[in-house]
Amino acid sequence: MRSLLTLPLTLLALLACTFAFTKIAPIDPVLAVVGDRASEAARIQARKDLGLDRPWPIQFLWHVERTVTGDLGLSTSTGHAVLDDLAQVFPATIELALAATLIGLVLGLPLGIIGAYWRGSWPDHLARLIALLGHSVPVFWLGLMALYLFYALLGWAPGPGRLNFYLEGLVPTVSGFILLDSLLAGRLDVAGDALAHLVLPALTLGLFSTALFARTSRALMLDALGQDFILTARAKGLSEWNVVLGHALKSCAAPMVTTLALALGSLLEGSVLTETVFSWPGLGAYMTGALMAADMAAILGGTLLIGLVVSLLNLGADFLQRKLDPRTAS
Amino acid sequence: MLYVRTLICSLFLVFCAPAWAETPPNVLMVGMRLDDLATLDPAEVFEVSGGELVANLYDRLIDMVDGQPKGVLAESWKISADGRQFIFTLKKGTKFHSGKVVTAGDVAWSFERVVKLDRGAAPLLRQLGLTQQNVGLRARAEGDQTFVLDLADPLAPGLVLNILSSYAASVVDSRLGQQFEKNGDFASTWLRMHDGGSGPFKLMLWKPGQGLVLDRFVNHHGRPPAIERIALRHVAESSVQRLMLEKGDLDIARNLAPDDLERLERNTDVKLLRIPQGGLVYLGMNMKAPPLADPKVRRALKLLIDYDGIARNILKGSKTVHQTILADGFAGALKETPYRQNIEEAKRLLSEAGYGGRLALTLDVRNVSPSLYIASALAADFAKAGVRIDIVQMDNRQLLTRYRARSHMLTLAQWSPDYPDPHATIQGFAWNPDNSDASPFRLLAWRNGWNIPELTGLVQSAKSERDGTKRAKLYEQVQRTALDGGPYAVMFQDMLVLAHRASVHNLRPGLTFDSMRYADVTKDGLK
Amino acid sequence: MKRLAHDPTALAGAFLLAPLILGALIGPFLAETALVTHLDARLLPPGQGHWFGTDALGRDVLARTLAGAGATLGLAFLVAGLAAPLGLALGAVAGSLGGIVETLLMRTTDIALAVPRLILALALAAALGPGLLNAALAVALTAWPPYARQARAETLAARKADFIAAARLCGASEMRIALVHIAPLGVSSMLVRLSLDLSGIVLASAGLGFLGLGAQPPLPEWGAMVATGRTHLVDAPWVAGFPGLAILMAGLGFSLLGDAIRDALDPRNERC
Repeated sequence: MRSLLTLPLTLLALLACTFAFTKIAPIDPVLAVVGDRASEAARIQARKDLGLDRPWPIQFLWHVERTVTGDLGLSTSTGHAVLDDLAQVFPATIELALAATLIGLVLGLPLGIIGAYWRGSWPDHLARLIALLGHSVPVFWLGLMALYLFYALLGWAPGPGRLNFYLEGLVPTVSGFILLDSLLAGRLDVAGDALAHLVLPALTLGLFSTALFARTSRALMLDALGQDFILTARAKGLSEWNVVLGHALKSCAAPMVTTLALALGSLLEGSVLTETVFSWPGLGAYMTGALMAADMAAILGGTLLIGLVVSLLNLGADFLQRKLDPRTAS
Repeated sequence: MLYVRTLICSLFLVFCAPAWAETPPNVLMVGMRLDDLATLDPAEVFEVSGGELVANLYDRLIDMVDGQPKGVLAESWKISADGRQFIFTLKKGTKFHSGKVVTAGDVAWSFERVVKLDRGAAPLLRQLGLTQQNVGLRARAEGDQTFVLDLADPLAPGLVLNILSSYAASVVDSRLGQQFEKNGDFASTWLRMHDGGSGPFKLMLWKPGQGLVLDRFVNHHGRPPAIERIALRHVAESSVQRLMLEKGDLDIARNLAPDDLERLERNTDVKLLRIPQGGLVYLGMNMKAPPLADPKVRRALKLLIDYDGIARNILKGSKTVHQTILADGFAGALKETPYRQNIEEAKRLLSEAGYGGRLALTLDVRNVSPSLYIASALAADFAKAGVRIDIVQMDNRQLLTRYRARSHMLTLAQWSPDYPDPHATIQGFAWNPDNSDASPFRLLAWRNGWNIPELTGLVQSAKSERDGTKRAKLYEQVQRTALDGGPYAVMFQDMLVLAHRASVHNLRPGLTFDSMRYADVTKDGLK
Repeated sequence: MKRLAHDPTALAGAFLLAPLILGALIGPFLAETALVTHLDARLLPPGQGHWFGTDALGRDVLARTLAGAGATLGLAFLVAGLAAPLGLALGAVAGSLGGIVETLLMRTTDIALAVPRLILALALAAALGPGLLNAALAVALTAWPPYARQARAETLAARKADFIAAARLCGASEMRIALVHIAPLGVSSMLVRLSLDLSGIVLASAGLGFLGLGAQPPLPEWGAMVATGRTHLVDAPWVAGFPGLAILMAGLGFSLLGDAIRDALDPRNERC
């Protein structure tokens, strides 16, 4: 309940931060609207239109009001409303983050479980090594090297991007997820192209989630396997399979959900760099593009969106954990 | 279940691998930097990529082909004996993408909206003496087929026709304009993202920051283009553009860095085109900064630059050395290059000026290559005479903010003229009617604090000189003055260098950024 | 400490970090080689004379990578030096004073934790403008909340200790108690957390550098070097490759060392 109250507070604080950022940025916002060659009269008018001649507390109130009504301003680098832009790019980021999460679950979870069960064995060392690497490798560098190796040298993977661009617009946008949309439209060629483009960036980002899941699940399983109820289960003569996957793993479910939520949040962060490297047209690439163009409205809109999503994820994880964990349920 | 899915995916991948090799012959894939593209409204484009797109989506009355005017929407035109009236007769039956017939009323409305909106394109039409008050009278339709332009003062006819062939004179569908007008914005909000033209291509899709798809306009009054679809994709990195070009993922790569060009020379699947452009790369020296007000210091800096070294080693044929303020290719441009690196002479000048060994300057530079490389090389050159340079790297808008506020010391900047007439450039560099901080005219001379009443007068008189030879002579004089004492070290002239697959033919770009037309392009394998 | 010296994890970490620390130490002497451009020796592959090859301006990549250690490690320690004590002080104050101050401070912490570090740093760096100091400030401002949380928890536990009560009897103000008596208690756990955090800080700062928000050219900084090396990735992968490896080494080294330090200092965490 308390966390439900925190959400609007968090967002208000974020708004305050972003507003402060626009004020300290060394960029003339008028220039962004009317361009370099406009006359002085046009500049003064634009200044007025933006409300820049008012005292800043009033500007802040306007800022809050506009944001609440969904007006995040006009992106100077795309010329579109930031909200429209975000709606267009965010599905791409979710697509990538979900793919990376999936990879993390498929690879990381078994690694962690095996590592915990056969502690000190070579799979355990492998799990620890991967966890260590995923934690310490600069993802932008890894992506570059992957692109170099698999696209430039070997030609196994398609180039950067989310789709071969001339295939854009052939499939009606329903969900914003190209893979889904193209399957819905029955265009297997588009779906195949989209899938092929997804593999490399998802794997790059997936190393991070694999590491996270391996690390967490290993620690949790180690803890669980040492508990009394496991001894009890073994004493009852249950099969090892049943003990490990049925009992021990089940007891880790609640904290794993939290990890999952955390992972999604961190993947959003990781996607900023990954997308930049792979020209993946998602939120990260959008924000870094905006960064290069000093497009404050776009940067701040993206920051707000990520803040909102992460807050919601935390809230959801909290809620789920309460539901799943008998100890906190009461 | 999850394992199965991954397995299927990976198998799929292995077998489908060759599927993304070539682009179909009816599609032209262009890779270029499109991150500066914010609007497609001809009245407000002020970025290079926007100008190029507008040129393919919209038609104008006339085009300049090899320096000669050629009718596009105009069938013919007459200039009155006193040089103050231009009368255009329009072709019959030309249509907009919307299906509406193009009339003189559309032309007049297009001129009106540019001038009244007062955005990026307005300064061009203002050169013709059009103002918000008089545009309705001076640029008017007489019937559906006749468009009349009255000038306040007689102007050089070449200047007028050059301006009328620029993006500012694009003809916009006035019916769409009325349909989408919001609070007297001349449909600007709508046209920013949509297309209201009659050009050979129409806009199908625009994903900001990602790219655009254009389809051919089958009912175009000229011959409709052979290429059915152009996909212009934003690819920021030169190395990626080159890679995609080599792999056949792109047909044309537009922003290749010198190193990539050098490597592509050896690739037989790829051809390179180099066309001199009107743009210049120069070092602006703000005379508001005390050391730079001293002509000796400015001369010393000009003498410290290793022009040929940078051109040879960093630019590698992507730009050529050019030192006057008017790019080669314009009438009256001087080809002189009097400055060579001379460190001893520069040291002598600096110590005469009292700055021997203890001059520190900042250098503003845009955060893109090759600007960054040029800046680093300049810093190294200047250090040879003890001039310390702090490079301040920033994005273009931030750079312009500082430049327009005259708060820079040195700035590495790029100039590109809006229309293929010398006046566009000369006015930019050597026209400063009011050097006060409150001046309404903030062109390059003002930004660098160059107070030049006499030169400004000279530029003004050249603008209305109807004798072409005399006009060229005046421009030579202006260039020499700027070369000797101006606050600019002009270093390089832009080259449009593009690389295309050998299967692509008929690319013919010209001197300005909006002269890139895709209508005539063909590809092997196209029926 | 002795335990640490015999721990293979710690040794591996130290082994990875040693060349980087060496680089940071001798970096100032390499400034000449790292900055001077040789336009006639551009993009030379690794080999004789240039072990790591040269970059697009003919500068020695090895010298630049070594010199870059100073910028990156310096940045990491600057961030650590800013964020950790700040978090500690805020946490201790919040824990000791309680009431509205605590609520206010801890809510702020929650909020700061809600936004991914890189994103907030990115927005802040965009607003402040690029530069090494601004990048440090941006990362630091996003790195302090965990320290504050931890310090507050420890403060709550320590508040009832006898010597605190004694200090209070002597008439010390709550603020003074918080900063002089309680905060030092949190230092050891702060150091443990810091050692675990350093690799993340290095990666975040390198990420900002990669986006062009860290050190400005021609100063060598690993993230920025990878970014510029990207231009020549296909023909000269070493330009982006080696600085990236250096980041990886720093990340791994700090991770390993952090793990070892935690194991050595924190008895609750048995080795596994």
